[in-house]
Amino acid sequence: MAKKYIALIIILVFAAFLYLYKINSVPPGLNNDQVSQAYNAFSILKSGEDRYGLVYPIMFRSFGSFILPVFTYILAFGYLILGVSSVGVNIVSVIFGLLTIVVTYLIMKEYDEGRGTPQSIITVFVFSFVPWLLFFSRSASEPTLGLFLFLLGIYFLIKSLKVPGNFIWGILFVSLSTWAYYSERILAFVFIPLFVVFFRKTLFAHKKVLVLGVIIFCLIQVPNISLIKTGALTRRFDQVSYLSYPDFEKSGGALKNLPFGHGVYIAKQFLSHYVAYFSPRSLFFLPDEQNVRSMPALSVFYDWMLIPFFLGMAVFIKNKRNNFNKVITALLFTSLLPAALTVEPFYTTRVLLYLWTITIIISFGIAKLPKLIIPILFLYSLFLLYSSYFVRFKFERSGDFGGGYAELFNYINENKDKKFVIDNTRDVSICVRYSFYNRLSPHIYKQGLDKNYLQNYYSVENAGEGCLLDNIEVRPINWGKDIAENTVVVGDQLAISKEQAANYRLQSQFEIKNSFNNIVLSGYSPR
Amino acid sequence: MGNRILKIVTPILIAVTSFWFRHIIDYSYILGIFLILLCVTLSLRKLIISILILLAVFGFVIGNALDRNIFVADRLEQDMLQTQDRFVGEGFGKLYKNRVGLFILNRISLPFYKIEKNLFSAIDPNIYFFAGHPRQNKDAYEFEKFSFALLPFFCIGIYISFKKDFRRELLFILIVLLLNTSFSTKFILGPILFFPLIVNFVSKGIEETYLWLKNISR
Repeated sequence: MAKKYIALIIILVFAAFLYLYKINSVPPGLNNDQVSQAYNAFSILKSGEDRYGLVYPIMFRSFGSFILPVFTYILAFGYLILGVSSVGVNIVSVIFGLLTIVVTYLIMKEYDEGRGTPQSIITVFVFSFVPWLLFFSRSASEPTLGLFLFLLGIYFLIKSLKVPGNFIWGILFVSLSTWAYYSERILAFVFIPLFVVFFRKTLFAHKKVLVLGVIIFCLIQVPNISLIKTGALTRRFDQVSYLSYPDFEKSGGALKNLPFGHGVYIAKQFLSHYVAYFSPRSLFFLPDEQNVRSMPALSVFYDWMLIPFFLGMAVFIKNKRNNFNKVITALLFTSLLPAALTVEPFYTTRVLLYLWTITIIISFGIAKLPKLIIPILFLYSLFLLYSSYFVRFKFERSGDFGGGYAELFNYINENKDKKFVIDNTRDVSICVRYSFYNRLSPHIYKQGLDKNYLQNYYSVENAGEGCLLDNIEVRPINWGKDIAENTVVVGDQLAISKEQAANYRLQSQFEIKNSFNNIVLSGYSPR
Repeated sequence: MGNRILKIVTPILIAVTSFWFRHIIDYSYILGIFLILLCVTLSLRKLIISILILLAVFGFVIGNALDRNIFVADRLEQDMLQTQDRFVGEGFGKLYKNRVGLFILNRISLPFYKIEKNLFSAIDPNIYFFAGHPRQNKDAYEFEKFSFALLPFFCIGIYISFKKDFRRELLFILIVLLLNTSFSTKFILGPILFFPLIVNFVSKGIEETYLWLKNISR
């Protein structure tokens, strides 16, 4: 037993080292959603309002959509301890990633009980270096918090099969997770009834606990009632799902001519998206297509994990049907429902719980591999991780994490006597980024914003966010009006080409380049 | 006897009614006959005969299917190698910038990547039931091979294979995987060596479903 705890501590120390190594430079900044949350958290800390002026919102408006609140409020609290910085933002996420590993150990202990196996240690060892958990833990992300809370709920639900009182804690944490990330919103409503049905004999023997759990779940969902009429509750889902008739009209193809064609289209889309997440090509080879959700040339799992994946599936399928297996099976198949209802082909943040169950299965397979080969595979994995994430990611993805803006804001701060007009046609986050970088008072930020955002907080759909702050104005460039003495127009190559600059007789003030030596931002003013 | 007939008829029916078979017949009738034979021998668990027919099929198509670019980088791949060279060089320093490191990155990483790409492109269920949707392979010639209505039977067939002992078929599967790594994703018939395997899993699924329904009705 003592050996197990020593091994666990060593693994956790290793994971903490890996998750915090070079945290100040990898990732190379914050992406749009992250900087939005970071500044909202700062605004909550300073004024009790979000950046638009709404007092303690139950959902945070962000570029035409809404982010669930728990991570932002925790971040605000985190600023008190860690200070306000992008590194601090990432560290809060790292803490939940490490706690996820701890909860995984607790859950796997239930599997080991009675078997005397060290599977829990093997499993947490795999979790310590698996790419998807490392990436999202280091990446200021509310899905990691959602995963942690849901898993904590799962742990207590499994415990409740022996000690019924734990059911309350399980329901509490699962319900809280619905305020952390959208996937858990759908998952909780599917998984909890399924859990109650699977284990009805045990749970119905303690009806009081069951009823209390349902009441707690409903109470935690009450704030949603205020959002029903605004459209905010389902805005995100409407933006990303394929269920609507317009989507069928656009993509239905030959099915448009069939009776019940829309139904067949939905069934086909659902099955194809659902199965895509089981594809070894998606799990072990292709990274997520979105740069902010993936590392260069490394998928959510290492390529060699294909073999323990199949071994683990064989072990899992042949295992006796016990409570633990029932729960994992239910999670494996239900955790894909949120992502399978959306158009994106492989959206990693929506399936973190699914990736968690796959990692469990892979760890079963790794336990069956010859022991001599495991250190070699581990070192190979660290090499892949280092070259993809700690080396290439920093350079190749800097543009997706606000690359170039730190230099721009430095230049602006050194030239306070000039006025800057920054084109925001292709980047909605400039105002927030500037405000977070300069720790701008939320009071000043709100004054510089369109009042329409606050008045129609849950219903305004505009994603663009222009502003007038200090000596900067963020909006599309007006070529007739903005070419004036002491004004610098700033934009990317599409906003201001060299030909345009020549036509308007503009002089280059600065050029900011990325690691590929391509210009990302340039500033011009009249000669 | 009834069971044996089922094991012969079911794979033949699934094979000839598939969209994929139409493409195969357009390509070559002889290939179609070989593949039907292979589906039946696999269903009857005649391993050695199956492997021999598989090798014959491989020999028949390899001329057109061979990926001749495993060791050749196109422009995009050259860019990828240059990027890798630059950033990995900066990141690893002397650990990379030596004879061994440069040899591995310039001579081994590209063919290794392409072989992996050929392997993983074939073990994607979506290419068989949904023409690759929603993660279509831009390099591959995609077309719908089986109706998506057969997907549940395919899943049941895979589950049954895991549940029961399928070590005999495992050798066949490993040979198919190995041979397929030499196939280009642009080949007009797709990963044709997997055709009998998919048919086999779907047949198993249909047989199990039929037996289960038969048990229930008793």
